[in-house]
Amino acid sequence: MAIDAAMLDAMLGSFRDLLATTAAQGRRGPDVDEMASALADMEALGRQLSDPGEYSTRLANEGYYQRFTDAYTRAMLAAAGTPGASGGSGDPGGSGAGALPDYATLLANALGAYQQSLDHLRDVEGQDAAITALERILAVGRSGATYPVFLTRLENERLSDVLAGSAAPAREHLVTALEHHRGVVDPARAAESEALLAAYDGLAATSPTGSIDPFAFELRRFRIAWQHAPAIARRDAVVTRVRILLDLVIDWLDAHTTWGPRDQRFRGPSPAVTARRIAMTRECNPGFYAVRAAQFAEAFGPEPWWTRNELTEERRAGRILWSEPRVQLALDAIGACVPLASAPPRLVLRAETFGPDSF
Amino acid sequence: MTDQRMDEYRAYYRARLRRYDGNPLYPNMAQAERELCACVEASSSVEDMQRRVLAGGHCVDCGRALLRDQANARVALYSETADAVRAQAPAEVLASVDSVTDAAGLASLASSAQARTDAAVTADELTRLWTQSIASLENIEVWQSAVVPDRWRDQLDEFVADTTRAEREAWAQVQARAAHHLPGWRFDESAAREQRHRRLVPLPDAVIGRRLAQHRAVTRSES
Repeated sequence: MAIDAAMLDAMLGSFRDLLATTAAQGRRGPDVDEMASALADMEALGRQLSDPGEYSTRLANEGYYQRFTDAYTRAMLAAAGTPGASGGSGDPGGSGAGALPDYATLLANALGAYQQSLDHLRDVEGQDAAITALERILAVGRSGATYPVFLTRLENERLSDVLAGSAAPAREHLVTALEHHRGVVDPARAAESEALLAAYDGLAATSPTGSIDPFAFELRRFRIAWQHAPAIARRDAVVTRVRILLDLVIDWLDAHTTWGPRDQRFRGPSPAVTARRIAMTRECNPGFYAVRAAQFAEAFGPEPWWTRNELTEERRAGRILWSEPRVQLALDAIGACVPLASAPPRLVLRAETFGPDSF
Repeated sequence: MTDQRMDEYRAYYRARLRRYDGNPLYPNMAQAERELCACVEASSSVEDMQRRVLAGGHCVDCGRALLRDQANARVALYSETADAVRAQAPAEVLASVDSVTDAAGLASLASSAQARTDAAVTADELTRLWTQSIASLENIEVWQSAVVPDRWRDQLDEFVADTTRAEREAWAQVQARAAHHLPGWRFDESAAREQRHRRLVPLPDAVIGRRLAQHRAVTRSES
């Protein structure tokens, strides 16, 4: 059993491309051999395993990616003759060996790399900002500027920031997430999205070009997620339990109705099974409810579950299964839902109006 | 021609310096770029610049400075969030960055430290998988303690036994998957109570203690 070929292509495609490109450029030596060896090992592991998750984890944790990228980095630095280069721009001020290549060669190498990136990104969705930046970079490079002037314009226009910033979500994605969380009435996640958008805008406001520093954004995003995670977890926990409490009361009332045996919640393979389910719901749900209400109060404080904002929000968002009259009846029945009690006839009478398999 | 090339390079390094100068996130990088810029400014020709930059090790200094600034920022962030596990990578970088002498070494230092920490983070995140049992543990508590007519007690006991068995099997699968990825992984209750995990479980300490005890009993029970 092996990893699916399409999955393997997706996971190893970029490594294969890098190796092929490196070889096509005529580069040789132990670093290129190491790249090939690391890729061969990744391919072999892909033939041994069948679980993509395990494959991905092992590639990351057992150093396969790192072996390849370290060798690739060394090969690139060796090709540039820059053992002490600071990376990124390929600026000649970092040259460490031999004569400084001429402008045209430096510029052609840089533009070739950017063109290759652009060709790749055109096939990737959601990379509009990076594509625009690359097109601008190539335009600057082909404008007749010398290499240092080209680098200076990239720096002054913060084009490399835009490229690097493309790793962060585009602003419109943050806005979409915020609108989604507001639209589905999820205040906890909406608050996180608001904070993230504000952080993004704050960084953009201090940037001369409006692009953001990806590292600064990474730090802010981590902090914001960390800050909001407890509120999100708490809201989710409250919502889950409120629904259970509501269901317990509604099921209890409905188990007293004449239509109960015809409702799918109780209907069994035989009349005896149906009768047993109804009897159990009638007799046990108040006891279950009492324990769950106590659990809820112990976890989330003395405010009753039925007055919580979370319930209001869930009702407003239409995420409560039951109709409003059904919910209201349940809220009216809470006081009567005590261990070993039967539902009061006046409440059962109201429940009778709903009928089987209705909400 | 040479003067014009030098002027172009001077302009480029001034532009680089402007990126970091005065940015509180990058104090070391600003200093390194300042020194690089001064070196370029003082150069009389491109060849002189090349010799001076190389002799001064300025480009590797810039690489070190960037790693140092990023690591310092991460250390501060993870200190604020009390995340000792994620803090391992920047701590490793800070401990070794001064001894690295080339760009490839700097890249390797950052990526290898991150890879080791990613593995540690994965192991640490597995700790929180026990919380997936909380709903079932609450159910068990309900069935065991609810006041109901005696005639339903056997049925509820059966629910408890079935759920206990299912939870035990599910937890065995969690452990097997974890051990498959991280041999030797064991659930650590004390880690589960540490703040980075604790803050994501919206229950009081007493309840968490009770659920952990239930979880321990359920996952170790034999029947």
